[in-house]
Amino acid sequence: MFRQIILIIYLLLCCTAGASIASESKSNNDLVVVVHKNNPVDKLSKDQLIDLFMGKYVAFPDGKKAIPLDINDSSQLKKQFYQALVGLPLARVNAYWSRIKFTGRARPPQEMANEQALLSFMNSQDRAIGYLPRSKVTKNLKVVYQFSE
Amino acid sequence: MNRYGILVRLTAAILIAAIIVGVVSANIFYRITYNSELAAANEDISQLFTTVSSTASIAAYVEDSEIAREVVNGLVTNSTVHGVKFKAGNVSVSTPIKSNYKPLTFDIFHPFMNSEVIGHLDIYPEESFIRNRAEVIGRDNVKALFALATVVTLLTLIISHYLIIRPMVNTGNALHNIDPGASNRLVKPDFHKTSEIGALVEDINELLEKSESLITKERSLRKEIEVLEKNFRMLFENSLSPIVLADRQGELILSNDSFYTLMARVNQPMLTNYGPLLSDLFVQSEKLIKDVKQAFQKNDIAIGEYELKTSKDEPMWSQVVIIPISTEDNSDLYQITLHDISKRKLEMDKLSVQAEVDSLTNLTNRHGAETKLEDLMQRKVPFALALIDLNGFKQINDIYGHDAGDVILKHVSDNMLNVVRQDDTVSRWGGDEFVLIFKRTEKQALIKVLDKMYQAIIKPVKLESINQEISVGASIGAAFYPESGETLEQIIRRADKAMYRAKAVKQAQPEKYLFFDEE
Repeated sequence: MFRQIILIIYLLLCCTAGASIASESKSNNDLVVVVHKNNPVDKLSKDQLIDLFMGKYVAFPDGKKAIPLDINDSSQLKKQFYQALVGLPLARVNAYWSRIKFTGRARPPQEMANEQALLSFMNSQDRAIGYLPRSKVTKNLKVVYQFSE
Repeated sequence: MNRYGILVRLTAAILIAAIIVGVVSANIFYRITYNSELAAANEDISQLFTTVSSTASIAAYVEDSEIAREVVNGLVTNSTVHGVKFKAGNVSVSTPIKSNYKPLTFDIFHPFMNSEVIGHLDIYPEESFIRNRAEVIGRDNVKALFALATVVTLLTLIISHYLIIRPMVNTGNALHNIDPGASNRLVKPDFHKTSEIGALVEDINELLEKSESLITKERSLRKEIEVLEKNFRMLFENSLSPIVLADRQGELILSNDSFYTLMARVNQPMLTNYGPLLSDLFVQSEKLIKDVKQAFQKNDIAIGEYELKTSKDEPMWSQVVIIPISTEDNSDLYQITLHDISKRKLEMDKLSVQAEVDSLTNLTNRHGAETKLEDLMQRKVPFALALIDLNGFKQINDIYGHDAGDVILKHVSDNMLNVVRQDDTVSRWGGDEFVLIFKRTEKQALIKVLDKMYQAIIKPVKLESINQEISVGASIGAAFYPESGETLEQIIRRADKAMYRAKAVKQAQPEKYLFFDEE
């Protein structure tokens, strides 16, 4: 009797833990980096992503020009993305860009008003690269990197 | 100045030591300061780098030479920075840099991946600036050191002056003013009762004590010696007898006035050497030397009487007393004292002549003959002795009186003296007895002389008082030395015996007047 109770508690604890892990890893709110489905690039590393979004390179590994996109709305998407990519708050990221911008050599990503604007821009521009919550990925887009925490 | 010799030397020594220590420590201080300044500069530069590191990271990350130049130029404006070299990927930005400077190299990290090195920043410290600052600090240190050294030197000098030199100089002055043998003593300086200077003063006082007693003793001794010397000098100078002190070669070392008075009397020049033992002054100089040598073999003193050489008619005699003196340095000296015995000698001679001469006949008397004989025998000189006894003298004496006897004796004596040589001696032995001392031993010669004597004796003489010629006979006995005997007595007895044999036949055979001992 006593043994059964312990077993039940143990199982309950295991289920709870397993459920929480599963819900996070498969959360539809996870950020992913996407390109146009016609873009030959299938996969990018985190380093390559940093180089693209922080202005070091403005081209994909195949040499084609890349257009990185930011979403600048009230959602915490941008903040979430940079925290995940370079571990910096937006203020620091902005300060970084303000250092670089005046030389004219590199430019920060183009700003989209919201997710909708980003999706429509990406449909028309197969050189663009942006980030979205996984749930918002359409069939025209291809995930090249996903942040897993 | 001389009195402060120690102070001057001390000053010089401390100054030299201070300069050496100052130079060495200034050098060491400079090195330490330079190194610490260098470290400080390096620290400054590290901080500088921290302030630009984020910008540098960005510049390196995006390989932007503009930003890099901004970083480099910003750093170079700092006075501790001489030059900067930025290198990341293809970007290299640098300011002019002197070749001998050494950089501090900093890693430039990836702005987003903090463990990844993406470039280097070389910052060259401005060494001349650091050196200048180190020099300024070092110079200040040296100044402080020299100020300290000066103060210490001055303090040392003042302290040693009051603590050591002044007490020493005062003690020295006090010692300087003390006469040897005086009763003054040194006083220990204040605060030095138990110090080395105090001990020195004690020792000096002990020494002064000793020297005082020594000098006092010496003074009294000297006084005694002075008195003695005065007395001796008086004795020596006022002595009527000439006294000299001469060495082995006769060099005069000391001589008194009497000696030169004597030299003047005997007409001798003033010399410093009159031969060994003054022998040149004497007639028998070699004998004197010989006698003295013999005397010294037996005794310590040689005494003799010798005749002085003189140009005067009167002979001058001296009793010479010679005492050998061994001096401390082992050289033999002679003290020679001369006593004038000329007068005594003259009287003695006269006396001796009186004593040895028969006053009636002027012949040698018995004493004189005996002296002569003893002398011959002592010298082992062979001789003959003839005893001559007159015959008939007693009758003349009895008949004509003693005056007639004297005439006969004088007559006989004169005649005898005429026939003998100077060398031989005719002596009146006593009464009417005579003795001939004949220094040749040939019998024939003796017989010849005695015959002449006999003829002289029997020669008649005219007696004025009675106007009549008278004569005597004689009997003679002869003996020989050393054949007849060793002593005078024996020889006389043998001669006497021989003479009596002649007496026995004087009436019967008057021609046999002579008999020899051995017959």
